[in-house]
Amino acid sequence: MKTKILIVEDDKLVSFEIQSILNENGFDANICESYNCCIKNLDTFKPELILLDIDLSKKYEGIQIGSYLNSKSKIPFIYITGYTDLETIKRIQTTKPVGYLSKPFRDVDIISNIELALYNKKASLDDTGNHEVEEDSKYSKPIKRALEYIDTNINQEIKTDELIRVSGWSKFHFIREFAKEVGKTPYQYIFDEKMKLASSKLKNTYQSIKEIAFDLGYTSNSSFTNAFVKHSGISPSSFRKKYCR
Amino acid sequence: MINNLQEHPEKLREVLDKTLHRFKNNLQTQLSLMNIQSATNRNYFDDRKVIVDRIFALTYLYDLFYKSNKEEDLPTDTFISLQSYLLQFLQYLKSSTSEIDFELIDTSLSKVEVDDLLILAYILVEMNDFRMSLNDRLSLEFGHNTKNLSLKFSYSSIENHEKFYNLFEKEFKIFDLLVKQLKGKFDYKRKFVRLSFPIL
Repeated sequence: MKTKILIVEDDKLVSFEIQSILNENGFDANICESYNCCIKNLDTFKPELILLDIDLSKKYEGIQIGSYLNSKSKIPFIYITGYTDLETIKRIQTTKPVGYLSKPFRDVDIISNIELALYNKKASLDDTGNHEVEEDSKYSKPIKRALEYIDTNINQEIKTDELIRVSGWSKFHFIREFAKEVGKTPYQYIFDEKMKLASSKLKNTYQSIKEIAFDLGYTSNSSFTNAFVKHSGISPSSFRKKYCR
Repeated sequence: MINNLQEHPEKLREVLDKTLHRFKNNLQTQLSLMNIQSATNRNYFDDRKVIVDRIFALTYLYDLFYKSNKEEDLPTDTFISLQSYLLQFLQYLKSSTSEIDFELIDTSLSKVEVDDLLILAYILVEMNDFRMSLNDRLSLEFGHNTKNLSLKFSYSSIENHEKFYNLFEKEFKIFDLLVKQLKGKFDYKRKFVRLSFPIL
């Protein structure tokens, strides 16, 4: 089976070129142009590696995706960008990409970076293979399905009824088992995950607080600020001032 | 200007960073176009001219961008005059042929983002290569409404432009990608093809 690579790039010429290079070299490549499309494709296309343009829609949306991937998934990703200034490089390092490709690039640059990233991924999976099995078996299948649903829909309002539906259990059984296996209630888990993502976005992106609130499914700036203060003890703007360079 | 730059070195640094970033992206586009050409077996009528034209499109663009910002303290945006650029670039294309006619209707106040203007110039380069392969005359008409730039084009030997796509089916990929890059729409009419770009 061909290795699946997701190209997240809003420049149609560049994405088409990369797709041609990858197809010629035996990969199965899909193209996305936005944050939402990328998140959706994690579930539907299930890529093994992602090539990520930093400057999506001219607003550093790529770093937001990198930040999301770093905190929410184990899929390795490589940034592709024309930025080579130190400030941008420092910012993207916090999202832990496995590589960095500077434009203009050659096809050999893309292929060698991808091969290296896939080799490292395989090697690290081999190293932690036993540990992974233990981690995986920590949760029952219905709870794992619920956790995956939360991961995929973290940018929206997540209703407990949906989690119950995904788990296939009755309401009370699900809530009891979730608390037993995960160590907190579904509500608390979703809240903590949203706040983790909010902290990462505040640290690593230039998104406004209003945009972050909206991205996380909050309908108003004030409800997000209240939630963040409750979680971190300081307001989102103070948090950003404290942790951003 | 020099005093202002000395007072705001961080602003100058930001402008230089952005310019470097833009320049690398522009080079990447040139490379991508060449690679897509070979990946899609796009046979140009005159490969060399197409590459030279693209380089001149880029050169004129930076030239105008530099001039239009020279009088200001520091550039505040990346929009430049559509009319000034088109006059210069179309004049350049016409310097090697008399078979291009163009008309600019009420475009004197229109401004377009630098990167978008470059893609528009590459679209014109593609059209000119179609023209050469047909040994034909190309007519261009630029106009606009509030947010859209409209570009009507026609070739004198094509009787029905509704079949324009069929005529260039094998050569169409790059042209199509460039139009889509600007979120452009095709409108095929008998006498002409109208492209509409939401870039104003």
